[in-house]
Amino acid sequence: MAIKARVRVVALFLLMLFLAPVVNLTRLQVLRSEELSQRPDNSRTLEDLSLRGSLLDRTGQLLAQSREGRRVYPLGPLTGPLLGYMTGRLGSAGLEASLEARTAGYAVPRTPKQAWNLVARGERRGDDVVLTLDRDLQKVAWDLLEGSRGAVLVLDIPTAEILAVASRPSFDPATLEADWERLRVDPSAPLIERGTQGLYPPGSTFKILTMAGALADGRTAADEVFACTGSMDAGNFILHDNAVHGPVRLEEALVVSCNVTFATLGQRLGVDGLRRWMDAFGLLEAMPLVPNAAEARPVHSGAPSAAAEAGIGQADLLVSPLAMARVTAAVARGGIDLEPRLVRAQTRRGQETWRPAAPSARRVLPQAVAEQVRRAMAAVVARGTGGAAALPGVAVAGKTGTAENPHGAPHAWFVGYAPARDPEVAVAILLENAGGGGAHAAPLASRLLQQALSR
Amino acid sequence: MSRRPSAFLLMALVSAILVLGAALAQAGLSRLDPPSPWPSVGLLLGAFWAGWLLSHLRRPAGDSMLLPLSTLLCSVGWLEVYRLGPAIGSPALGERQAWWIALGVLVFILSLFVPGDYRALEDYKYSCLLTGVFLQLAVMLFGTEINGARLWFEFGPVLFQPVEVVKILLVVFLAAFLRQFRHWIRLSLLSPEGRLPRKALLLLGLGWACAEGVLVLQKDLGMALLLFGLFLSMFFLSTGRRDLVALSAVLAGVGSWVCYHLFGHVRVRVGAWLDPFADPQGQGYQMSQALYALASGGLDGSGLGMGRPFLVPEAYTDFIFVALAEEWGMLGAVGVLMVYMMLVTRAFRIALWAGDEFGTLLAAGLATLVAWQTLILVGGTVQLAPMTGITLPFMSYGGSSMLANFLLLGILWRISAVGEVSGGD
Repeated sequence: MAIKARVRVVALFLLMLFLAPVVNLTRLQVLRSEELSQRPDNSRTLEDLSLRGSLLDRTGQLLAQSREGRRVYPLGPLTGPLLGYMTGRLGSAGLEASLEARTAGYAVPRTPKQAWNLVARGERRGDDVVLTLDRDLQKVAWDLLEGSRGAVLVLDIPTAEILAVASRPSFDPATLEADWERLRVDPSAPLIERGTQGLYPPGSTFKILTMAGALADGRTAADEVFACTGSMDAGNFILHDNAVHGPVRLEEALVVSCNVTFATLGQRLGVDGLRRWMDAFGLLEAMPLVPNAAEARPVHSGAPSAAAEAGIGQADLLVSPLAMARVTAAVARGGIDLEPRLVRAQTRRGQETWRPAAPSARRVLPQAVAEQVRRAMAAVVARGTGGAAALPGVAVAGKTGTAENPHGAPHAWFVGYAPARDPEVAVAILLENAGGGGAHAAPLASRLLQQALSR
Repeated sequence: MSRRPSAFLLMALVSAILVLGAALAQAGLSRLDPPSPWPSVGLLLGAFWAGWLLSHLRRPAGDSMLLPLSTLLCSVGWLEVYRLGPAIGSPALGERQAWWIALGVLVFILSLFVPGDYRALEDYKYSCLLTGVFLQLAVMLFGTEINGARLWFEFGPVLFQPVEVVKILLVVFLAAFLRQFRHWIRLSLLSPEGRLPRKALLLLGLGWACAEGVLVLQKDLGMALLLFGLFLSMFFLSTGRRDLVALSAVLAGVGSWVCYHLFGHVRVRVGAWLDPFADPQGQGYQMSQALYALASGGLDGSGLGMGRPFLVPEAYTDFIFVALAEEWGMLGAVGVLMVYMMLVTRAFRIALWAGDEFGTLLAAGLATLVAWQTLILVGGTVQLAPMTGITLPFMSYGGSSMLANFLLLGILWRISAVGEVSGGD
């Protein structure tokens, strides 16, 4: 009977189809099992959280700790997106995710030493990780951002250690799971750590780099006088300055933040020259000891005006506050670059079990060039746009920025260091869409530097 | 008659698996302080053996393999549901599922006691069709909306999903309709002038439109796939027109492509299927968690009560197969797939033994229904197809689907009981 023959055909066809899930189960459960298990958002790989080590600040105070099977963050939103989170449902993110292998408990011993600890001492808890952060300074940085969106970052100049990096808006890790759906779609991006991951046009703060690069390449000299008529032909449009500065010498041009001067220097260096200098300052590479830090984006635009605009920190140039702090610190050190770091050591019961290699010093600018830029930056605060950053009794050096951007009012920037003569700390302050850097960001720098120096 | 002792042994084996599994699950869950499994296990064993006894007393000639296979699936599914209950904060889940299974067995027994012959169903084909259409329309208009889909009726604490019954009604209608008109359809195809087979095309077009209608109006991708797979399979079984089946498959492909570009929810499903890691905390969350569950299960599984299948949303319904694969491993999951294959094979054998065309088409249609439904759901959970919200026969938590599946089993038993008497073996 023909129907029955067809029953056999359909039966065979459908039974053959059952092979497909068998094949895919083999693929997913056996062949790809390892790879899937190691994905960072896979919360199944986080073994019992109670065995995890803690994250500590530079003085040994707790920043993240496992308690009753949960991760607890004593500073709450102050370290929100920086430390990230580690939960059964959402997996891990931020420093928690990057340091996962270091804080992991010894559920399964992986080295002979771990096996010994487990057998001889019954120890299964993971190591602690000491960060370079200073808990008190972190609070200061956070408080400065009250009511703003943006980031505040403090860098220790001799060691390039990040002492504080605050970012707002933030989230409260204690209620993360409940708030998740809201946080995920929040247009103000509270899950992004703005100090190291946020990328912004640097505006006039970038003139430090333009000036240093042009001097070092011999494209200008300290005594060159620029004739600022209040505007210039940037290639395909007229670039307007904030004022007519008349004839200005290079140092004076930085003091008044003359766009015509630095756009001219940008044109002399060219897009490639600026990119080379960003690379020289280490801005285009990842920093292994600041996990998740975003690399700067050099100019990609092919517009004829790109070089002039990039010279004043515009065009499609993007950098993080950390990158600007790094450039500032390199100038402050007299032209020596050190790679910034956020991780200090791994410890077990107070004993170091691992420490990153000491930072290697790299000369990026001739000493003389760095001194010229330093003098100009000190003058910016002493008698220029950065006046609000001044401190009583301590000379401060810095540069303001007011970065045009497509998202509304300009971003307010300030980068600087103190004391001007014998630098100890560098700061970078960014306030999203807050307006002028001199009026809004520089006053915060004054308070921040005072706290950082009296630390 | 000679198979009865072995069926008895198989039922004993199923009982042993259920009892040992319950003990393992209780031990594995000890940290969560689970409710005792034993009242539910007692209920299930009572139901299984009552079903076995009564079915063999009432219709001794029926296919005695049906009950061991289906109760094995029920047992394995129940163990996972019981195990998930305390972990997702509803410890009574296992007990409720046990009652649904017991009621399902009752439906099975009742279906055997309905007097008369299954062939009587053939006379009610239009009633079946109208009831099915009525239920579908009613649920679309007056149903309760859950997760954006209007697929349920709410009766006090009980949710009834009419589509589970509608599927069976549709198979009955198609079997009867196609048997009655298949020659007419075939003849219309064989017109000597080489004219277009208009009537057959009209019928195929109707089936196609129904499936697309379900997809568009109810946003139920799984149901649309299932309806279309079922319809094509039965059309082929009755008419044998490979060319038209191929043509429809192509049309369905075109329809899917159009839907993909027209409807956001289809795009979202397909996106979550092809690359769940593009948005692992959002649209791809369920799928990426399912993949992690599968990966953590590995070859031999974490052990019952020892894994974390509760991290996958809807693990006790749509993703029960993933929960199983995590805790019973690839070996357990493939084993369960083999049980489904055996059940489908038995149903097709019943189709082959059936004494009449309607019986053949009905049994083959029901076999196709179980096979497609299993394939679509399992395919969706192991990343072979977009995830769809249909249930896994005999395993997923849920009353409507359990009762409907046991009704299907009852119909198969009735066909097999007649078939063996008249057709011999």
